[in-house]
Amino acid sequence: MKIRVGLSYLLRQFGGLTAEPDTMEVAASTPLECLQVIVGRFPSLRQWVYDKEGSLLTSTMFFVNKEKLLPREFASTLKDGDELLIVLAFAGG
Amino acid sequence: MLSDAELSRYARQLPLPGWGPDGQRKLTDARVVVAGAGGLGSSVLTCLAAAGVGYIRIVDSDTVEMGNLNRQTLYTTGDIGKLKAPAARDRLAMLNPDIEVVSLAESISGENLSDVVAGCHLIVDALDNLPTRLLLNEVAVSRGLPLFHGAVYGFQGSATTVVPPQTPCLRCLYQGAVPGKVPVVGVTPAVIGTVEATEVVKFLLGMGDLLTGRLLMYDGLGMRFSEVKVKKDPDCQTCGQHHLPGGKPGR
Repeated sequence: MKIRVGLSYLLRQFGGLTAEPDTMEVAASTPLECLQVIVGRFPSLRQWVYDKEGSLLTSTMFFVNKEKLLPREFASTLKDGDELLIVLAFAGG
Repeated sequence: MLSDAELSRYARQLPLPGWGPDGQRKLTDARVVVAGAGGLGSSVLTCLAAAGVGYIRIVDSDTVEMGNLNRQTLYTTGDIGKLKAPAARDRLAMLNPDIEVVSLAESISGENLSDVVAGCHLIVDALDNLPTRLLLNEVAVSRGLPLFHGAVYGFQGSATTVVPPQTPCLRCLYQGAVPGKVPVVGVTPAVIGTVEATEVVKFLLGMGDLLTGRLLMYDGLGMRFSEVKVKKDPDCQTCGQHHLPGGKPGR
Protein backbone atom coordinates (compact mmCIF):
# COMPACT_ATOMS: atom_id res chain seq x y z
CA MET A 1 0.00 0.00 0.00
CA LYS A 2 1.41 3.36 -1.03
CA ILE A 3 0.93 6.24 1.36
CA ARG A 4 2.05 9.79 0.64
CA VAL A 5 3.65 11.02 3.86
CA GLY A 6 4.43 14.64 4.70
CA LEU A 7 6.64 15.81 7.55
CA SER A 8 6.14 19.18 9.19
CA TYR A 9 8.93 21.70 8.82
CA LEU A 10 9.77 21.48 12.50
CA LEU A 11 10.20 17.72 12.31
CA ARG A 12 12.39 18.01 9.24
CA GLN A 13 14.37 20.79 10.93
CA PHE A 14 14.97 18.77 14.08
CA GLY A 15 15.97 15.75 12.01
CA GLY A 16 18.32 17.79 9.82
CA LEU A 17 16.15 17.01 6.80
CA THR A 18 15.20 20.44 5.54
CA ALA A 19 16.97 19.71 2.25
CA GLU A 20 14.81 16.61 1.78
CA PRO A 21 11.45 16.78 0.00
CA ASP A 22 8.67 17.52 2.45
CA THR A 23 6.66 14.54 1.23
CA MET A 24 7.66 10.99 0.37
CA GLU A 25 5.98 7.77 -0.60
CA VAL A 26 5.92 4.97 1.95
CA ALA A 27 4.68 1.40 1.74
CA ALA A 28 2.93 0.71 5.05
CA SER A 29 -0.50 -0.08 6.44
CA THR A 30 -0.95 2.25 9.42
CA PRO A 31 0.27 5.68 10.54
CA LEU A 32 2.51 4.08 13.16
CA GLU A 33 4.02 1.76 10.54
CA CYS A 34 4.58 4.70 8.21
CA LEU A 35 6.48 6.47 10.97
CA GLN A 36 8.59 3.38 11.63
CA VAL A 37 9.51 3.19 7.95
CA ILE A 38 10.44 6.84 7.83
CA VAL A 39 12.51 6.67 11.01
CA GLY A 40 14.26 3.64 9.54
CA ARG A 41 15.04 5.75 6.51
CA PHE A 42 16.02 8.81 8.55
CA PRO A 43 17.29 7.70 12.00
CA SER A 44 17.92 11.33 13.02
CA LEU A 45 14.15 11.64 13.50
CA ARG A 46 13.99 8.96 16.17
CA GLN A 47 14.65 11.11 19.24
CA TRP A 48 11.98 13.61 18.18
CA VAL A 49 9.13 11.11 17.84
CA TYR A 50 10.00 8.27 20.24
CA ASP A 51 11.23 8.22 23.82
CA LYS A 52 14.20 6.12 24.94
CA GLU A 53 11.96 3.10 25.43
CA GLY A 54 10.65 3.41 21.89
CA SER A 55 7.20 4.70 22.82
CA LEU A 56 5.64 7.39 20.71
CA LEU A 57 6.08 10.87 22.19
CA THR A 58 2.82 12.63 22.91
CA SER A 59 3.99 15.62 20.88
CA THR A 60 3.75 13.55 17.70
CA MET A 61 0.52 14.23 15.81
CA PHE A 62 -0.89 12.38 12.81
CA PHE A 63 -3.26 13.79 10.23
CA VAL A 64 -4.78 11.64 7.49
CA ASN A 65 -6.25 13.42 4.51
CA LYS A 66 -6.02 16.64 6.51
CA GLU A 67 -7.94 15.34 9.52
CA LYS A 68 -6.32 14.79 12.91
CA LEU A 69 -6.30 11.25 14.19
CA LEU A 70 -7.24 10.47 17.75
CA PRO A 71 -4.56 8.49 19.61
CA ARG A 72 -6.60 5.29 19.35
CA GLU A 73 -6.60 5.69 15.56
CA PHE A 74 -2.81 5.71 15.19
CA ALA A 75 -2.86 2.00 14.37
CA SER A 76 -5.86 2.18 12.05
CA THR A 77 -5.54 0.82 8.54
CA LEU A 78 -4.79 3.33 5.82
CA LYS A 79 -6.09 3.17 2.26
CA ASP A 80 -4.00 3.24 -0.85
CA GLY A 81 -3.50 6.87 -1.83
CA ASP A 82 -4.12 8.26 1.64
CA GLU A 83 -2.08 11.31 2.59
CA LEU A 84 -0.48 11.19 6.03
CA LEU A 85 0.96 14.30 7.67
CA ILE A 86 3.21 13.94 10.72
CA VAL A 87 3.52 17.05 12.85
CA LEU A 88 5.29 17.93 16.08
CA ALA A 89 3.03 19.88 18.41
CA PHE A 90 4.51 23.04 19.92
CA ALA A 91 3.23 25.44 22.54
CA GLY A 92 5.47 28.50 22.53
CA GLY A 93 4.06 31.97 22.86
CA MET B 1 -24.73 55.81 21.26
CA LEU B 2 -21.09 56.14 20.42
CA SER B 3 -19.37 59.32 21.54
CA ASP B 4 -17.85 61.71 19.02
CA ALA B 5 -14.44 60.47 20.11
CA GLU B 6 -15.45 56.85 19.49
CA LEU B 7 -16.98 57.69 16.11
CA SER B 8 -13.70 59.31 15.19
CA ARG B 9 -11.46 56.60 16.63
CA TYR B 10 -13.30 53.76 14.92
CA ALA B 11 -14.17 55.62 11.73
CA ARG B 12 -12.30 53.17 9.49
CA GLN B 13 -13.96 50.03 10.86
CA LEU B 14 -17.51 51.26 11.43
CA PRO B 15 -18.32 51.31 7.68
CA LEU B 16 -17.57 47.60 7.32
CA PRO B 17 -20.67 45.56 6.43
CA GLY B 18 -21.97 43.94 9.61
CA TRP B 19 -20.07 46.35 11.87
CA GLY B 20 -21.53 49.83 12.34
CA PRO B 21 -22.40 51.38 15.73
CA ASP B 22 -24.22 48.22 16.81
CA GLY B 23 -21.17 46.08 16.13
CA GLN B 24 -18.90 48.55 17.85
CA ARG B 25 -21.17 48.42 20.88
CA LYS B 26 -20.74 44.64 20.97
CA LEU B 27 -16.99 45.17 21.24
CA THR B 28 -17.39 47.89 23.83
CA ASP B 29 -19.58 45.64 25.96
CA ALA B 30 -17.23 42.66 25.70
CA ARG B 31 -15.16 41.51 28.66
CA VAL B 32 -12.09 39.58 27.60
CA VAL B 33 -9.26 37.92 29.50
CA VAL B 34 -5.92 37.55 27.76
CA ALA B 35 -3.69 34.97 29.40
CA GLY B 36 -0.09 35.80 28.60
CA ALA B 37 1.39 39.18 27.76
CA GLY B 38 4.43 37.95 25.85
CA GLY B 39 4.89 37.61 22.11
CA LEU B 40 1.39 36.43 21.27
CA GLY B 41 -0.11 38.64 23.94
CA SER B 42 1.60 41.76 22.59
CA SER B 43 -0.08 41.24 19.25
CA VAL B 44 -3.48 40.16 20.56
CA LEU B 45 -3.69 42.89 23.16
CA THR B 46 -2.72 45.66 20.80
CA CYS B 47 -5.28 44.55 18.22
CA LEU B 48 -8.12 44.13 20.71
CA ALA B 49 -7.45 47.42 22.47
CA ALA B 50 -7.20 49.29 19.19
CA ALA B 51 -10.45 47.71 17.96
CA GLY B 52 -12.23 48.93 21.08
CA VAL B 53 -12.85 45.82 23.16
CA GLY B 54 -14.30 47.48 26.25
CA TYR B 55 -12.74 45.48 29.05
CA ILE B 56 -9.47 43.59 28.83
CA ARG B 57 -7.91 41.69 31.72
CA ILE B 58 -4.20 40.94 31.25
CA VAL B 59 -2.83 37.99 33.19
CA ASP B 60 0.93 37.47 33.38
CA SER B 61 3.30 37.12 36.32
CA ASP B 62 6.58 37.70 34.44
CA THR B 63 8.80 40.74 34.36
CA VAL B 64 10.14 42.31 31.19
CA GLU B 65 13.61 41.13 30.18
CA MET B 66 15.94 42.32 27.46
CA GLY B 67 15.50 38.98 25.71
CA ASN B 68 11.77 39.62 25.36
CA LEU B 69 12.11 42.69 23.24
CA ASN B 70 12.65 40.96 19.88
CA ARG B 71 9.00 39.96 19.86
CA GLN B 72 7.10 41.48 22.79
CA THR B 73 6.33 44.76 21.16
CA LEU B 74 4.23 46.14 24.00
CA TYR B 75 7.41 46.90 25.89
CA THR B 76 10.38 49.19 25.54
CA THR B 77 13.91 49.01 26.86
CA GLY B 78 12.77 51.30 29.68
CA ASP B 79 10.30 48.63 30.82
CA ILE B 80 13.00 46.07 31.62
CA GLY B 81 12.50 44.84 35.18
CA LYS B 82 8.87 45.90 35.35
CA LEU B 83 5.99 43.47 35.70
CA LYS B 84 4.55 42.77 32.27
CA ALA B 85 0.86 42.90 33.15
CA PRO B 86 0.80 46.46 34.53
CA ALA B 87 3.34 47.64 31.93
CA ALA B 88 1.09 46.28 29.18
CA ARG B 89 -1.94 47.85 30.82
CA ASP B 90 -0.24 51.25 30.87
CA ARG B 91 0.78 50.91 27.22
CA LEU B 92 -2.73 49.97 26.13
CA ALA B 93 -4.22 52.80 28.16
CA MET B 94 -2.13 55.17 26.05
CA LEU B 95 -3.27 53.45 22.87
CA ASN B 96 -6.96 53.59 23.77
CA PRO B 97 -8.01 55.49 26.90
CA ASP B 98 -11.71 54.79 26.16
CA ILE B 99 -11.46 51.14 27.24
CA GLU B 100 -10.83 49.54 30.62
CA VAL B 101 -7.66 47.51 30.97
CA VAL B 102 -6.82 45.73 34.20
CA SER B 103 -3.74 43.71 35.08
CA LEU B 104 -3.38 40.57 37.12
CA ALA B 105 0.29 39.85 37.79
CA GLU B 106 -0.21 36.24 38.84
CA SER B 107 0.74 32.82 37.57
CA ILE B 108 -2.30 30.87 36.46
CA SER B 109 -2.97 27.82 38.58
CA GLY B 110 -5.85 25.67 39.71
CA GLU B 111 -6.19 27.92 42.75
CA ASN B 112 -6.80 31.21 40.94
CA LEU B 113 -8.39 29.93 37.73
CA SER B 114 -11.84 31.13 38.75
CA ASP B 115 -10.57 34.61 39.53
CA VAL B 116 -8.63 34.75 36.27
CA VAL B 117 -11.73 34.29 34.12
CA ALA B 118 -14.39 35.72 36.47
CA GLY B 119 -16.91 37.90 34.67
CA CYS B 120 -15.30 37.51 31.25
CA HIS B 121 -17.10 36.45 28.08
CA LEU B 122 -14.16 34.73 26.45
CA ILE B 123 -10.56 33.66 26.99
CA VAL B 124 -7.55 34.33 24.80
CA ASP B 125 -4.77 31.79 25.17
CA ALA B 126 -1.53 33.66 24.55
CA LEU B 127 0.52 31.49 26.88
CA ASP B 128 3.86 29.80 26.34
CA ASN B 129 3.37 26.32 27.78
CA LEU B 130 0.94 23.46 27.32
CA PRO B 131 0.08 22.62 30.96
CA THR B 132 -1.27 26.10 31.65
CA ARG B 133 -3.02 26.17 28.29
CA LEU B 134 -4.80 22.96 29.27
CA LEU B 135 -5.82 24.50 32.59
CA LEU B 136 -7.41 27.38 30.71
CA ASN B 137 -9.04 24.85 28.42
CA GLU B 138 -10.57 23.09 31.41
CA VAL B 139 -12.16 26.23 32.76
CA ALA B 140 -13.29 27.24 29.27
CA VAL B 141 -15.04 23.91 28.75
CA SER B 142 -16.54 23.74 32.23
CA ARG B 143 -17.98 27.27 31.94
CA GLY B 144 -18.80 27.22 28.25
CA LEU B 145 -16.43 30.08 27.51
CA PRO B 146 -14.93 30.41 24.02
CA LEU B 147 -11.15 29.93 23.97
CA PHE B 148 -8.93 31.44 21.30
CA HIS B 149 -5.65 29.58 20.97
CA GLY B 150 -2.36 30.31 19.26
CA ALA B 151 1.12 28.78 19.52
CA VAL B 152 4.49 29.42 17.92
CA TYR B 153 7.90 27.87 17.41
CA GLY B 154 10.51 29.73 15.39
CA PHE B 155 8.92 30.60 12.06
CA GLN B 156 6.06 28.12 12.64
CA GLY B 157 2.70 28.93 14.14
CA SER B 158 -0.74 27.47 14.68
CA ALA B 159 -4.14 28.65 15.83
CA THR B 160 -7.59 27.30 16.53
CA THR B 161 -10.80 28.40 18.20
CA VAL B 162 -12.70 26.40 20.80
CA VAL B 163 -16.40 27.05 21.40
CA PRO B 164 -17.60 24.62 24.06
CA PRO B 165 -19.45 22.36 24.00
CA GLN B 166 -19.93 22.18 20.23
CA THR B 167 -16.31 22.06 19.10
CA PRO B 168 -13.20 20.02 19.88
CA CYS B 169 -11.29 21.43 22.81
CA LEU B 170 -7.54 21.90 23.23
CA ARG B 171 -7.25 18.53 24.97
CA CYS B 172 -8.83 16.86 21.91
CA LEU B 173 -6.06 18.47 19.86
CA TYR B 174 -3.00 18.22 22.07
CA GLN B 175 -1.68 15.22 23.94
CA GLY B 176 1.75 16.81 24.37
CA ALA B 177 4.14 19.38 22.95
CA VAL B 178 7.82 19.68 22.19
CA PRO B 179 9.54 20.47 25.52
CA GLY B 180 12.24 23.02 26.23
CA LYS B 181 12.85 26.69 25.60
CA VAL B 182 11.16 27.73 22.38
CA PRO B 183 13.06 29.89 19.89
CA VAL B 184 10.78 32.55 18.43
CA VAL B 185 11.16 35.05 15.63
CA GLY B 186 9.24 38.21 16.51
CA VAL B 187 7.17 38.18 13.36
CA THR B 188 5.64 34.77 14.10
CA PRO B 189 3.70 35.65 17.27
CA ALA B 190 2.74 38.88 15.54
CA VAL B 191 1.11 36.83 12.77
CA ILE B 192 -0.52 34.26 15.03
CA GLY B 193 -1.59 36.78 17.67
CA THR B 194 -3.27 38.77 14.92
CA VAL B 195 -5.09 35.61 13.81
CA GLU B 196 -6.31 35.11 17.38
CA ALA B 197 -7.47 38.72 17.63
CA THR B 198 -9.24 38.38 14.28
CA GLU B 199 -11.10 35.38 15.63
CA VAL B 200 -12.10 37.27 18.79
CA VAL B 201 -13.42 40.23 16.84
CA LYS B 202 -15.34 37.96 14.45
CA PHE B 203 -16.81 36.05 17.37
CA LEU B 204 -17.92 39.20 19.15
CA LEU B 205 -19.46 40.64 16.00
CA GLY B 206 -20.94 37.35 14.80
CA MET B 207 -19.16 37.68 11.49
CA GLY B 208 -17.40 35.20 9.22
CA ASP B 209 -16.33 31.61 9.81
CA LEU B 210 -14.43 30.78 12.97
CA LEU B 211 -11.46 28.42 13.19
CA THR B 212 -13.56 25.92 15.11
CA GLY B 213 -12.73 22.30 14.41
CA ARG B 214 -9.83 23.50 12.33
CA LEU B 215 -6.16 24.01 13.10
CA LEU B 216 -4.57 26.76 11.06
CA MET B 217 -0.89 26.04 10.45
CA TYR B 218 1.51 28.79 9.42
CA ASP B 219 4.93 28.17 7.93
CA GLY B 220 6.74 31.49 7.80
CA LEU B 221 9.72 30.06 5.96
CA GLY B 222 7.69 28.53 3.16
CA MET B 223 5.19 31.38 3.61
CA ARG B 224 2.27 29.00 3.52
CA PHE B 225 -0.94 28.84 5.46
CA SER B 226 -2.67 25.48 5.56
CA GLU B 227 -5.35 23.93 7.71
CA VAL B 228 -6.39 20.55 9.00
CA LYS B 229 -9.58 19.35 10.61
CA VAL B 230 -9.76 18.49 14.29
CA LYS B 231 -12.58 16.37 15.68
CA LYS B 232 -13.97 15.94 19.17
CA ASP B 233 -12.52 13.05 21.08
CA PRO B 234 -15.37 11.18 22.79
CA ASP B 235 -12.85 10.00 25.37
CA CYS B 236 -11.35 13.46 25.93
CA GLN B 237 -10.38 13.94 29.57
CA THR B 238 -11.77 17.48 29.45
CA CYS B 239 -14.75 17.62 27.10
CA GLY B 240 -15.57 13.93 26.62
CA GLN B 241 -19.13 13.17 27.62
CA HIS B 242 -18.30 11.19 30.73
CA HIS B 243 -15.85 13.84 31.92
CA LEU B 244 -18.27 16.78 31.75
CA PRO B 245 -20.37 17.80 34.73
CA GLY B 246 -23.67 16.01 34.26
CA GLY B 247 -22.18 13.72 31.64
CA LYS B 248 -23.21 10.11 31.44
CA PRO B 249 -20.84 7.96 33.49
CA GLY B 250 -19.78 4.43 32.73
CA ARG B 251 -19.92 4.46 28.95
